[in-house]
Amino acid sequence: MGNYDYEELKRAAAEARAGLFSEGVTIKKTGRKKLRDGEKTELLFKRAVNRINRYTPRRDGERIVLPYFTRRSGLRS
Amino acid sequence: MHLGGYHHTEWCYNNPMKEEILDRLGKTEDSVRKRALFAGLLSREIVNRGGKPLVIVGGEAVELYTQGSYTTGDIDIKSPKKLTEEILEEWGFEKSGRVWFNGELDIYIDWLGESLDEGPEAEKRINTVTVAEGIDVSVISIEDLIIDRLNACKYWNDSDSLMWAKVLLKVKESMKEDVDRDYLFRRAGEEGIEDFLNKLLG
Repeated sequence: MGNYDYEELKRAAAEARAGLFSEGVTIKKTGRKKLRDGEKTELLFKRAVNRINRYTPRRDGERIVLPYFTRRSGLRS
Repeated sequence: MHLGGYHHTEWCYNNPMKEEILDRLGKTEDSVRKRALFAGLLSREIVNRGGKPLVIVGGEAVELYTQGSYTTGDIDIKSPKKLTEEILEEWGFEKSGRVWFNGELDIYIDWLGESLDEGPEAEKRINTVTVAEGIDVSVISIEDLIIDRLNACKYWNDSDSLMWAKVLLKVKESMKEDVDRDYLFRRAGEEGIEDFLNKLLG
């Protein structure tokens, strides 16, 4: 069984994308044509709704605040 | 210097803006948050140089509104061409066709034009979204994005798009806002997708 480190895989994938790009290959965006089975689609929907419930978007004046992005970011403004 | 997986290289020396980008993105492991933050920083720089803020459209807009439940690989934007190219070049991006890429940041930008294809009313409906403290981005409205997904469903046979349109409705609902049904039906009529809109709202 192969043993992979996630950070290594992430770095390798980024390098592969960069290599393809330098060769003039850009990955074309396509919609998903293969039908998912209903259960899988339902699962994705539930997961998305759960995220909305967990990180409920709200209006702040003219802005929409999306808590998934603003939570404990620890970033300077 | 090593920062959370990123290395400072010659492209950021003597340029405080590049330094800030690398610093902030280096602290962001989550690729969804990283893309959102980058779009915000790019938009801020365009505005600082006198341009109109960029507008996020397409898959990146769905990724933002669904807060990462939907994921995409690149950032689809509408923005002033000259300024965007000038900044991306300064920030070490390479261009291939309409796509810009920075290998060190692992970020792809798909520049799709200067203004929304959906027209002036869609421009007025653009939302401002906070993606980090003090960082906002402009994003196509949820109604226009729903129409975009329904188009994908009908004309590209994208089997998941109807479900993502339903999720976008839930986002509106969660903010206790009604979806603008009149606008949706008008746009759906123009696009020939009333059948899919009825399926969505039915």
